[in-house]
Amino acid sequence: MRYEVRVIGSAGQGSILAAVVLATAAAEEGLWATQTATYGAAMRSGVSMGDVVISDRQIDFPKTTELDAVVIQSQEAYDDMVKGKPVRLDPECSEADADVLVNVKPGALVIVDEDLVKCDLDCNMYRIVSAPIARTAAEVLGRRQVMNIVALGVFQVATKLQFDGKPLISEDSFLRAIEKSVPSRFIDLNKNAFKEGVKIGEQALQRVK
Amino acid sequence: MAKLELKYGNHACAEAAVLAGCRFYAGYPITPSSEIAEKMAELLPKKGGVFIQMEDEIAAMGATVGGSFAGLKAMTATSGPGFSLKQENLGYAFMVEAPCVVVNVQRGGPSTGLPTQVGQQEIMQSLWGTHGDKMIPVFYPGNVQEIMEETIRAFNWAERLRTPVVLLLDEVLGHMRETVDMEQFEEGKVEIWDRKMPKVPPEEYLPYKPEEDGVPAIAPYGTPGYRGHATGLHHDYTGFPTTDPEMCQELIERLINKVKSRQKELERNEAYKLDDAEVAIVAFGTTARAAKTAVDLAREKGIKAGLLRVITIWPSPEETLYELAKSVKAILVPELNMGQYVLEVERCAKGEAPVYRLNRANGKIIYPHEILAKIEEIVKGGK
Repeated sequence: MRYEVRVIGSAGQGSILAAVVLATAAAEEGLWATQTATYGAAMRSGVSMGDVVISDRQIDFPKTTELDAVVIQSQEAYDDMVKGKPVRLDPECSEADADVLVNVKPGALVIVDEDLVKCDLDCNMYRIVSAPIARTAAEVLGRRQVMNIVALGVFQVATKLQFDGKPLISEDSFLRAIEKSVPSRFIDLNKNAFKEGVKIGEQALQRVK
Repeated sequence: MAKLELKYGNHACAEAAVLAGCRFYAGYPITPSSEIAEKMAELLPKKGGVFIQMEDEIAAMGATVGGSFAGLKAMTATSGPGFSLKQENLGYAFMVEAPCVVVNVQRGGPSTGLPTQVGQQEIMQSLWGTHGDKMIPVFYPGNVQEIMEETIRAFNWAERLRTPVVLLLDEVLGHMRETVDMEQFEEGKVEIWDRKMPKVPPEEYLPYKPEEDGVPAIAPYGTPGYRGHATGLHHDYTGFPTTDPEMCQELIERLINKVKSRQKELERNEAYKLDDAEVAIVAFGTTARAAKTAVDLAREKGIKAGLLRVITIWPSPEETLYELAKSVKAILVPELNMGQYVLEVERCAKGEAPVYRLNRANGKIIYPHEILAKIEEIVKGGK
């Protein structure tokens, strides 16, 4: 089994932290993971992303080439990854832009924020899960900053679509990963954010079906 | 029972160094190695160790030699430009037999190059960067688990042979998080070697007189009664300079042979699907991971490909490479430079198999399908 995920968003949205939490959760689940990220100065502007490869055995090639899931946190990120460029279905995609233009597999999960991202991908080709991620972070949790963790909650639930009704990684593993990955004073906030993400993820899944 | 934990490559290197007994780190931060220094600054004080940020890489290497001579297991870490600056004192460490580990997290070069991007351009410099004849062990792990294993192995051999050891990483490995099975690194499970101490009384002590294994037992500087001199000049058993031709020849031969004669013990490779392979890839570090996937892709297409992943880069696995060349129809050496280790592979193959290249030095990694394309080209008889 090899499962590839990308979390992509605008600077400061915590895409890389979300990828770190996801990879940590995979390890907690007893799976192998590699996590790579754009390495640059995108703290205040630009698009940044974190990639995770998950497997039931040690991973050979550590970077993503064919995504099974992508979490898109902003329109800018969506445009950067998808719009104006063909979504590459051809695995022979390397060249200089290979880091950005990986292949998104047919049947892949595409998780988007329903308020922030206008997603015009073919819903026959992808499993598009649209949920009020940023709004939940702002209104329910009072902190828009935790939208990345809310998004992980949505992702956790949405993987049920790909694994016969069972999620790839359990909620417990994610909660333990959060404990290990965020500063202690923010653990409860982030755990709650994850749980709210699971809730809106369940609702969004009803709409997909 | 596996104990899986996600670890950041550079942090894993620092953690393993402390596990191996490192208690002295002198460094000067440089991308993409800075996180090693950051982690050492956090870990060493808790263990009663010393962390110093020096004014530059030259001083950092000097201080590393000093820390080692004072009796502590010592390390420094850097990247391309810093590695160049360290060369003078790295040669000094070799000459005065100061055990230490020098980590180079390779980025794109030459010069300032591509600071945030990956390269494998110090394969030759890691051995030949300093002037004069030299042989030191150079290890290059291929994943985060192995970063821990190889860091510990680097310290062990540094101490046993009283030599600097270079640990090569690359930007992708250093900046990657990956699952590590921590079971083998639990307390009491890690094999640690320490440097030997003189067994003779102070009046008979000769710091540079080798014992049977070719390695002298040098007391930490400041040990009461055990006085010695250290110099980068050719020296006799007392450590004082000499120009006596026999002594000078003996010294340089011993320094090289104490490493080279242990090539078999130092050798570490991973052989993957080589048993019936017709095309063999020889690779290391991040590129070897793409190569491994490429082997699987080629096998799916009916091409008998295999991989020899070299972990001990120097001294090179001469015999293994020669035997490999005899057993296959072609060898491919993909590397993130313009053709360095391929020269060594060609030398060791002695013409038994043609050796092809796949080179890149633009900061981008080589992807599996690119290696596959090259394999297909070779099989079809092209170049």
